[in-house]
Amino acid sequence: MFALFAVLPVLISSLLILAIRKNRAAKYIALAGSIISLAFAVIVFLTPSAQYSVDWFSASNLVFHITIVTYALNKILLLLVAAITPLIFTYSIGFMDVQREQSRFYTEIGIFAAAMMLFAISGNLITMFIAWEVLGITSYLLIGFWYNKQKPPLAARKSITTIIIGDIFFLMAIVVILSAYGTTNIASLISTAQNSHIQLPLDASLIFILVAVFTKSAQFPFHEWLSDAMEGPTPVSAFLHSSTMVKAGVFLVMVLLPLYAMANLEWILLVIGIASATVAIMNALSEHHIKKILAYSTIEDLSLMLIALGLNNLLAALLLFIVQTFYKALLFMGAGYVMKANDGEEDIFKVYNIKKNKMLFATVVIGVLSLAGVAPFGGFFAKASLDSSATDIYVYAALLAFDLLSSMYIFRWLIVPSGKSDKNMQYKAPRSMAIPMAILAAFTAISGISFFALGMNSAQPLNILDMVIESGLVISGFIISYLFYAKGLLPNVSLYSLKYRIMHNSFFLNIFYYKIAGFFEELGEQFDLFDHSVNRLFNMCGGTLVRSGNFIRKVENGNVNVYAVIFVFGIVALLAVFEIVAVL
Amino acid sequence: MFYAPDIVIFLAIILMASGICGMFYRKRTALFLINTLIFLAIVLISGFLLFSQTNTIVFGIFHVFPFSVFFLTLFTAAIMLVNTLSYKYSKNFDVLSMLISLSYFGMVCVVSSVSFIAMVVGLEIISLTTAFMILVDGKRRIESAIKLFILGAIAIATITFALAILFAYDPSLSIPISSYPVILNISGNPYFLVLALLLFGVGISFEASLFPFNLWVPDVYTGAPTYITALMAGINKKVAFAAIILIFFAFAVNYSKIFSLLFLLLSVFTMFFGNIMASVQKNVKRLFAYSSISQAGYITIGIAVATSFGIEASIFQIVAHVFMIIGAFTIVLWLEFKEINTIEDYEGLYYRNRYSAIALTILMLSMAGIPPLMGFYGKFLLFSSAVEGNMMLLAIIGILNSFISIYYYGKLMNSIYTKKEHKALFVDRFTLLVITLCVAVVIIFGIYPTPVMDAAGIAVKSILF
Repeated sequence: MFALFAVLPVLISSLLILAIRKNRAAKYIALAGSIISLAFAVIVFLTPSAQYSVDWFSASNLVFHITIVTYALNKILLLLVAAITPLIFTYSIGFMDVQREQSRFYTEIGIFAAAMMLFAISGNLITMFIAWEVLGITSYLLIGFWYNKQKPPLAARKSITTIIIGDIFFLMAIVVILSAYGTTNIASLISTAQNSHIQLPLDASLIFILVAVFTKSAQFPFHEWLSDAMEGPTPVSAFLHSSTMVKAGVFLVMVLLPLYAMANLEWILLVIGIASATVAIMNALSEHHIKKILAYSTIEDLSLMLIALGLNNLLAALLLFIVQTFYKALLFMGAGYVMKANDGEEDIFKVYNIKKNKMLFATVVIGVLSLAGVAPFGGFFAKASLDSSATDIYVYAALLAFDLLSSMYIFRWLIVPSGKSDKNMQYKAPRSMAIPMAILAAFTAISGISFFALGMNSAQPLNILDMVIESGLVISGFIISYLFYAKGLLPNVSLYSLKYRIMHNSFFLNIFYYKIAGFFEELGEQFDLFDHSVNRLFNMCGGTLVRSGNFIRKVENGNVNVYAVIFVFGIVALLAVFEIVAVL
Repeated sequence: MFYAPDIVIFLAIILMASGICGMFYRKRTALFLINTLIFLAIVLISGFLLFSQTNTIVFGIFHVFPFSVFFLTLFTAAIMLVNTLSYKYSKNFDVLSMLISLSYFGMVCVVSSVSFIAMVVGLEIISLTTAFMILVDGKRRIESAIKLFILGAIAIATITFALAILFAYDPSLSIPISSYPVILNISGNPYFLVLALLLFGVGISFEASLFPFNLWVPDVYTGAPTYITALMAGINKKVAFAAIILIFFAFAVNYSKIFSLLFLLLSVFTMFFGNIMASVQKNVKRLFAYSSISQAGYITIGIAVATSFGIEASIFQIVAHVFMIIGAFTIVLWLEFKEINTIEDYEGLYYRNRYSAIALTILMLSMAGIPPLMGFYGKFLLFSSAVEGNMMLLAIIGILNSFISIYYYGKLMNSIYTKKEHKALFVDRFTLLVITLCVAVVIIFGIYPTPVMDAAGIAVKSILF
């Protein structure tokens, strides 16, 4: 149970903030809690793997357990989340300068972090589902944090609508698994499923879980909520995109990977992964919003992880998983910095020069290089090992195309704002924003080490050819971007041309969403009449209740004689009932 | 083992003596409260330590075994809460404390009785002392005290008549329990035995406030000072349930199918009576009195099912309700002293004292059965035991009643959160302590019910043959 100690400090500190409601102290309490959590997570990381299980509750022969496991995967995710959390909180100290909402913010984001940590160490589907639900609800609260603005509540509603679909599918999967195999413990589920010959429930539940994963990890066709989620405060975006929430889906596939391999369902991961990556890249290339480009890039990264899992290459997926955490958190923090410096301007063509601020520029460049996959950084190793594990020629071609295009959009993200230098950047960020960025930049710079730490250099050494091809594609992506956006060779694409609109709207999927939603709204209006009659029925019930209460009340007149008589009548009535039963 | 089982009972008796000593401590009630609380704490701790391993008979009267230790521990914890409250709110804590100690002795008698005689004596002690506890507060309480006394006398008369019939079957009047092997030897026609048990059930339904023997409950609960109401709703009623479980599940286990009909009828009527009447109440104290009646109905579901799972569920719900109702009546008591009585008066409570408003909301949600609180899990167990015991209809009626209960809890909650600016209310330390403890128990064992459930399982196993 020791691993739970890593979760509790963050949780307790956020509940404490909720209880005392002191806006001034909130950030320090949250930070202290997250640092203690990090310390425990490090200890958990260094201790040997173990599994603990306690009975949570039972109803006669149905017993639910809370299972905590610390296998290698769980420890890595726990450490990642615990390491990112204090950095995010430190960044928030500088970023969230609205005093009035401090305690609400730190409560919500603290519970969000605690839920992800619990998810990381949970060893059965029930425990995972709890964490999964808390993640969904807190992300809803955080995305709609600025509830008095126009867009955030809508974005929050969209995200919760999408996520709830996944929740229902996850629950269905749990029910199917529980009734077919009688266990929700993941380790025993894998061994039971390998020994049993029932194929159908396994397939069904695995597909249900995949739907849940695609909603949580924002894969096609459920990816739209993630770019809208940018309406939340930037620290939330940095957290949500790097280590929390969207990673939960990928992690779930990771722990269940043996089952997917056994059921031959990996092709779904490949197909959906490639489709989502395509859509995400097209959106990223046409998007102007500084954070939304990064959001689409997250979708692409997650797709790459799923493709790696679909190729049964757990190590490449894990490497990308780790590396992506650092560079994506870093880039979002940089984006927040730029937005702050430009009074909240979010269009990359309108923000001012970011080259002036050396610290910002240096850290962001490190992040961009890692994302694009330039040689010594972590992104390079992840992408190269992913490329080399592709066996199918089409998958290989798709992966190469993704390498080129992702390098293009991320250099576009960097080059477009740096090119403009008509105004000087006056803003200097507080130290609490700069320090986490510097730390993350350092982590990103050395994240290539994890390639060797995971033992991949011996397990699946890189092909020289792959490395060369990958680097060549990344460099050509940079050159294209440079020519387009710095030298002004941009092809003249109107905002209203069909090409742009297709690219920008992920094949009009959003419109399709709204059509579905609109259909249900109309259906709902049709049901309104029915609803009113139900309402009347309930009102009638309430009226009947009160009337009958007023009637029975006459008995309750405070007169002891009446009570005694009714007592005797009660005895007689019961005797009569028993006589009748005895006769029958 | 350092703690001999005798110590628990011994301490309980000493406690009674110390209660009597309280008469001489008149001026130094604080000292006396601490004295009593320390004794109770020792009993509580030894109860925890003794649980699940003891099975002896002390002084030939008290059977110390898991079932009795479980209830003893529960009642000790509840008495500690009630004692704290009465110290704070009663003017005559010395007398009151003596009576509570006597009543505590009665509880020990009932839950650990080896014979019907001890049980009846225990019940009578509780009933009488409660009537006097009500009287201690002053002359204006005389009506409810007399009501309790007279109707209690009728109930005891019924029980005694039942004993007279039982005497013909078994002159020793002992209560055989699996761990105490005296086998009930019945020959001949069991007709009168069933009659006797039926009468016994009626008499004890009076204490357990089951319809139609519970008409005194709202009047007496409303008429009594609220800390005594908390005692009656939280403890006295539960003692009666412990007795019901002992008699109808352990002693008359062979006839449990017959008596499941009795408790089914009582349960259904009690639930409907409590909930329907509660929904027309204006006075919050009276509302909670009716709500506690409906809760008694839910508890009876498990007894009607009469499987060991059903009894476990009932015991769980008993534990839950002890803390829910004591917490709720504590808040009612505190507000009563500030002249806040009706649902209209409760308007804007959230803006006057946030903490107590949230606590009352949590307690009410628990009573209505909203997860993840203790009341939800209790109801979940009760209804699922009914489904398992092929009593689908009973489960449906129970769920229907939960719906009805949302109506009046919701009405009160609506009133609490209605915005109305008024001057803030101050909670004193003792009240705050009691409220916090009750809410903590309700939340903690709601999220993690296994310890209570395991303990209930051991207790039930110990009374089964």
